[in-house]
Order: sequence, then C-alpha cells, then structure tokens
Amino acid sequence: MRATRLDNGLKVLIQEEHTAPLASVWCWYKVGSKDERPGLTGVSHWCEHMNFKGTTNIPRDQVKGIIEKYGGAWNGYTWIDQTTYLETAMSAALDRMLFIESERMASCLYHPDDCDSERTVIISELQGGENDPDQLLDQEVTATAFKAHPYGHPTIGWLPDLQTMTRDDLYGYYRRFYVPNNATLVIVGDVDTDEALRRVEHHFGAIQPGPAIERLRTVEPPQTGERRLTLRQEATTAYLKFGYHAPSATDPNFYPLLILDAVLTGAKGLNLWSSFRVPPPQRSARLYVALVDRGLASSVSGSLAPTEDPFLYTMSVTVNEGATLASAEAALLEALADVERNGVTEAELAKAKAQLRARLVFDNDSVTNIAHQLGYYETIGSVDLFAEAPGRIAAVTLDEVATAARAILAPSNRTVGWFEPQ
Amino acid sequence: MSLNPVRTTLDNGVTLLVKQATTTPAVAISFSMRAGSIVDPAGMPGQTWLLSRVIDRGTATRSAAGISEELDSRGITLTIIITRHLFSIGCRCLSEDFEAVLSLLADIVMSPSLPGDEIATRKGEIITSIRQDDDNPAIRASESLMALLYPDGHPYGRQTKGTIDLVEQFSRDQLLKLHADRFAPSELTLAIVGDVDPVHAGDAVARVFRDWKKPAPTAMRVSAVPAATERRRVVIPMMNKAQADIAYGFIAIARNDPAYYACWLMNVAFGQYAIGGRLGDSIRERQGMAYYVSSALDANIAPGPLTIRAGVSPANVDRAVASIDEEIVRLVREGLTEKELDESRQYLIGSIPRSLETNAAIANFLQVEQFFGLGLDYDARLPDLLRAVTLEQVNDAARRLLDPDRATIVIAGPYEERSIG
Repeated sequence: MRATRLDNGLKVLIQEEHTAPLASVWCWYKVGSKDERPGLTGVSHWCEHMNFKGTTNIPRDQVKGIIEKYGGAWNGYTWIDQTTYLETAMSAALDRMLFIESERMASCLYHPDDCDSERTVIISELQGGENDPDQLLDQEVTATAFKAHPYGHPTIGWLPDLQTMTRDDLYGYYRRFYVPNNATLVIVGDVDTDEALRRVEHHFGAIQPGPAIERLRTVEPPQTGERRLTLRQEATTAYLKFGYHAPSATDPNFYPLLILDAVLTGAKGLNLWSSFRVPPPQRSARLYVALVDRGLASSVSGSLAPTEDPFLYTMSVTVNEGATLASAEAALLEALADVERNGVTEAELAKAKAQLRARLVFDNDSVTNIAHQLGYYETIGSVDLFAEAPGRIAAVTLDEVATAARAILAPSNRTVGWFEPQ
Repeated sequence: MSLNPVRTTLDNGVTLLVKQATTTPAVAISFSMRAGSIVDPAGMPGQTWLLSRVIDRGTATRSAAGISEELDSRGITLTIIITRHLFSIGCRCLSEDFEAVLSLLADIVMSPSLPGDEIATRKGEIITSIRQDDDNPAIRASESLMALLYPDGHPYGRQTKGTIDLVEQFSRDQLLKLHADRFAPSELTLAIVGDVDPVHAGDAVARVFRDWKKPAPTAMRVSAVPAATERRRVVIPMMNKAQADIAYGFIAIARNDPAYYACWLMNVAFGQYAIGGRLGDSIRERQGMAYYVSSALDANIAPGPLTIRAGVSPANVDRAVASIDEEIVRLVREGLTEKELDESRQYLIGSIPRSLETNAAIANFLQVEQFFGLGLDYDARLPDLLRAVTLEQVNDAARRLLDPDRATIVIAGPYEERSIG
C-alpha cells in the first residue's frame, strides 16, 4: 500500500490487487454527524445526498449512468465521524471514477429545487427507519446516553431540523468540509500505483485547500448512574437495549472489549461495510445461551465499532413472544454480572481470537471491502490502526478482558431502553 | 475470463461444482437441496422453514452444543436460506478448516436428529419473527401481493414461515418425514469456491457422501397461474407506522421463457438502472417522494412476479401509485429508447466481473447456473445473450408484462382508503 499526500493536503492511499479486472475508489471526508451543531442535525447526511445531484461539469441528467456504463456500482454513506463515496467498476474506468470524485469535492451545485425535493426524500428515509421499533429504540438509547457529545443525535437528524434547514445551510457546510485537506482518497484494485497517482494529481491537484477546520472539543463527561427509558407504542414485539459508553478505536481498552463482545455475542469483525451482512458465529456465545437457548429471546446481538471518540457498546435483544422484558433483562444482567465478576475463560479467549482471525480474512475478500477499511481507519485515526489490528487482537490477555469488563459493564455506565408494545 | 468450474456427479447423484480461487485463504461452501418451501405438505406452510431452523441443531453423532462449538471455534456462521424451490446451507471458512466443515455440513444434511427441545426453542423464535413481520409494512405489503397474485394456497403465494397456529402444531415426526421424503442425493448440488484444489475437494466430497443412498423423490410440479384480468387494490392500514409501503405487481415469466433476456433488460431500464431506473427518476429524483423505489423480476421455474416497491410518506401514496401507472403507460406506449437499452445492456455486461468477485458470489452464481440448467459456460455466453436482444423485443416484453389495468396493488402503512372504487 502506498500512502502519500498532495500539496493541497489530499491524502492518497493506493493498493494494487490484481485478482480481478476491477478497481474500487473511495473518497472519505472527515465530517459526520458529530460535526453538526444544534439546529443543523442531519446536515452531513443531507449534503451526501446533494452530492449525487450534478456538478459544474457533470450535468444533472448525466449523473445517472456515468459509472453504470462501466458496469460499476456506486454508493455513499454518512455516519458519526465520516462521509464517504465509492465507485467499484472495471479498472478501465479508474480515470472516470477519479473525475467523478474530484467534481464531487469541488463543484457540486446545490440547486435550490434539488435541495427542496431531497428534503422529502430524506424525511421519507427517516420515517422508513422509524417503522422499525428496534431502530427507534436505538436512536432513543443513544440520545439518552450522551448528554454533551454530539454522538447523541441521529445521523439522519431530528425531524424539525430537516424541516427547517435551508439551501445556504447545506451549501455552506459543503464548502467548509469538502476540501482536499479534509479528505482521503483510496484506490484498491487492478491498477498501476504510479500511473494511478499521476491521474489523481491530474484530477485533484488543482483543487485549492480550505481553511483549517476547527475540531470538536466536547468530551462526554463520565456517566454517574444508570439511565433508563421506555417507549410504549402500538406494535407486536418487545425489544430491549443496553448501551455502555465504550472506548474509542485508539484506546487500549478497545481490543479487550472487542474480545469481550465476541465472547458475549460472537465476533463481527471490524468492517462496517461488510461485517454486519453475515451474522456472527454466536451459538456458544454467553448471551445467546443465556437468552436465546433459554427461550427468552429470538435474537441477541452486540455492536462495537471503531470510532474516533468514545461511542457506545450496545446489546440488543428481541424478546420472545411469551417472555417479558423484565425476565430478559434479568437474564442479561445475570450473564453480565458473571463476566464482570469472573472475566472470561482461557478457552473463550482462544475462541474469540480464532473467530476474529477468520472474520478479518473474510472481510478482505473484495477490492471494495479492502478499500473501505483503509479509508475508514485513516478517517477515524490512522490507516496504521487497520494494519495493527490482527496483532493487537492476538496480544489481548485474560486480565485485560477482565479489566475492560469491570470498567465498561459497570451499572453506572449503562443506559437501558425498553420498547414495550401496546 | 470464464469461470470454467469443474463439475462432477457422484454415483448416487450428488452434483459438485468446484472453482479454485486464491484471493484469500478461505473457501465458500454452498449446499442447495431441491427442497424449498414448495415441498411443504398441503395445508402445512412453514414446515420447511421450521426444518431449516433445527436441521443444524444435532445429528445422529453430534449434539447441538457440539455443532455450535465446531462452528464458533472456527468463526463460521451457517447461512440457511429457504426459497420457493431450494433449501440452501452455506458458509465461509478458512481453507485450513475446509474438510472438517464439509464433513459437518454433510452430516447435518444427511442425518439431522431434530431434537424435541430444539424444535420447541426454535418454534418460539419463529413465532416472534412472524409477529415482527406482522408489524412490518414492507413485509405485509409484499406478502399480501404474493398471496393475491398466487391465490388458493399456490406455493408461490404461501407465507414461507407459515402461521403461528400451524407452527405451534408441527411435530418432530412431521419434520423427520419431510426430511426423509425430500432430502436425497439426487436433489443436492454443492458449489465449492476458494483456496482449495479441485481434485482434493472432489475427493473430500466423494468420501463424505458416497455411502448416502436414497431413491430420488417424486418431482414437485408448480402450476402456472392465470394473470389478473382486472386492477386490484388492497389497503392494510397500520396507523402506528410513519411510512407507507407500496407493492405493485404482475405475474411475469418463467426463467426458461425465450423472452427472459428482453424482460430482464426491460426491468433494469424501468426500475433498476442507477437508482431505480425510470421509476427512480420520476418518483425519487424528480418528485422527491420516496427514499426507495424499484422493480424486481423474479423469473422462476413457474412464471414468477415482477414487483414494484416503494416506501413513501402517507400523504404521497396516491401520487406515487399514479406515477407508477404513468411510467408504465409511457413505457408501453412509447417504448424504451435505443440509448436506454444500450445503457442497461452495457451495465449488465460490465457488471459481470464485479458480481463474480467474491467466493460466495461465485458459489451462488454456480448454483443458479446448475438449478436453471444454464450450462457451465453461462458466464462466458451471457454478454452475447444480452447483446442479441433487440429494442423491439424489449418493448414487446413491456407490453406483455405491464398494464395498469391488470395491476395488483397493496398499500400497507398509516393510510386508509378514502373512497372505494
């Protein structure tokens, strides 16, 4: 992998993979919902939508099809720390993919009519999410867990902000964050590194850097007591969710907690783009045995993502028909108390490591997935974190897991959410 | 570049397709048994689904806990999927675990013990999952559409998971009988793709399956259903929800229909290309009404459906349905342009390498190739099959499949019919 930086500040990561005649290009921006101030929640995600709507040199009616003619797929996503755009297509389309991303960085239009029409699309996306009780509960648990840090508000934004945000809000935000000195361009695939770098310089070299971006300084104060909330709505199924403040990707406790999560709910891996598409191996995991095998829940899952600031480790339970939220919570608490008291066993540690080793191999099975990981880590910290991950996982000790369990699973660090169907 | 998989058939009828790929030190293993939900006994929809939830929870020689340990210690998740025609079990494993995992999967497929306590636990999960589906407008709309298109207990119209009442009644003996009746070597295709030598893989498969002897079950026939003759519209009010889901469809074609490639290209241009083809352009891009709108063609052994789906705010339901109608009328009346056809064709041809990048994707492709009898060189022939389609054939396909006056429409969500008729 070659890492370099253009004069305008753009970071460039290129990795050759010649197994298929494909290339994947991702352009990452260090801007996500944590960069949004009150009143503008959802602006990062809305900007992402606007950045698919034509540029100075790609008229609106030519956006459609610009990459499809090379058999390509494109997409984008926004989350708490990042906004990213990708194209994966025949490697012959590399120049076209770089052109699209350079246009997106410098020349999007934000036509007022397009901003208005996208408002209803985004509100429809929000409402579609609210149709899912588990997603609604997740949103409320997250908002309750954070008092100060903007990780607390949903990436899609709060509805009143989406109803009132203006075109100037959107465009101003775009101009502030979409600058080369706030971006990482990743290319993985059937390319020649030197030639690819020349094409990057050609498309991006003339884009002017923007003023240095002042970064968020808010630190979430430690939680001092358990928080609880209950949503009661007409529905069919009960859901239970625990959220614990968790270490950031660079915190020494991150990998011990990753191991602990594997012991509790099965290893997911570290790739947000691909890891969650295949459920984790979890049948012998502690919470599965405690809840699902005992008939209290139809599913249990854990979620821990590498993030720039400390985010949440969440556990989600779908309560079985016939069981109660209280009984599911009691079983969950009992299992967690045990691990908090006694840590995990040598055999569990070995199994968790074996699972993660396999998942990291599975996660690198395509140019798209590899490129995602390079850019994701560079955006939340450093690409080196990605390369270090296997070694860091292998080095985790039983004591470290026990320490992490005691520190993180403390009741005062917990937010409990109930979704109670009416 | 062509896949050129190695195909062998064992004496007992098991079919094996192997493709070596050394991108990662991993292997994708896929078992497909011709025992999908269509083999549910009459009046017992959901039995195959329940079998799929317990088949891997114990065998003649392995306990449920033992299987869990074998899988989890290797980082393996079994994915068991029931479609109308196939009962599929698949996973990814590290190359070093290939033989052990193959043996385990074979044991699960040939000799499940279906323990009573496991059946009871998995029934609870299924019942909860049916209740969740009942609260999901997108699922309610799609399932109701299928039940309307394929009425009277037709296997394509039944709820794959069954109903709560039925699931509660299913017995271990019924599941054992279903397995005994429908699981046989002649019905099984294995696709193995990854960092494994084809000869070695072939030997390993022969070793684990050679003693499995069973006669072939009688083939299941799925009858064709007459297309709707009038427009139908059903509303499922779910006033507790924020967004309404629309499912709008027709019975379309079988996979072996000579017009398949024309229908495929038509569907791509109409409801898939870029974000949702012409439908996406109108409903999402120009009118800003929906986060998602697209169409899907599910050509199957018997004629399957063409389904248009959209999620919209309740205030926009009528406008969205009217826009779907308008796009159909425009397509049928004016046809696609030569440019639209070329774009869709170029897209499908160009996306072949991308769709065959991972081991799991190749294994899935080989299974489709085998199931529909498309031939081992199908990936190499596909570009020419698409190039041979003319604009006239595509426009014929639109006229044949799409007609607002014969559409079946289901709307589920916070919406109520204001006037009937």
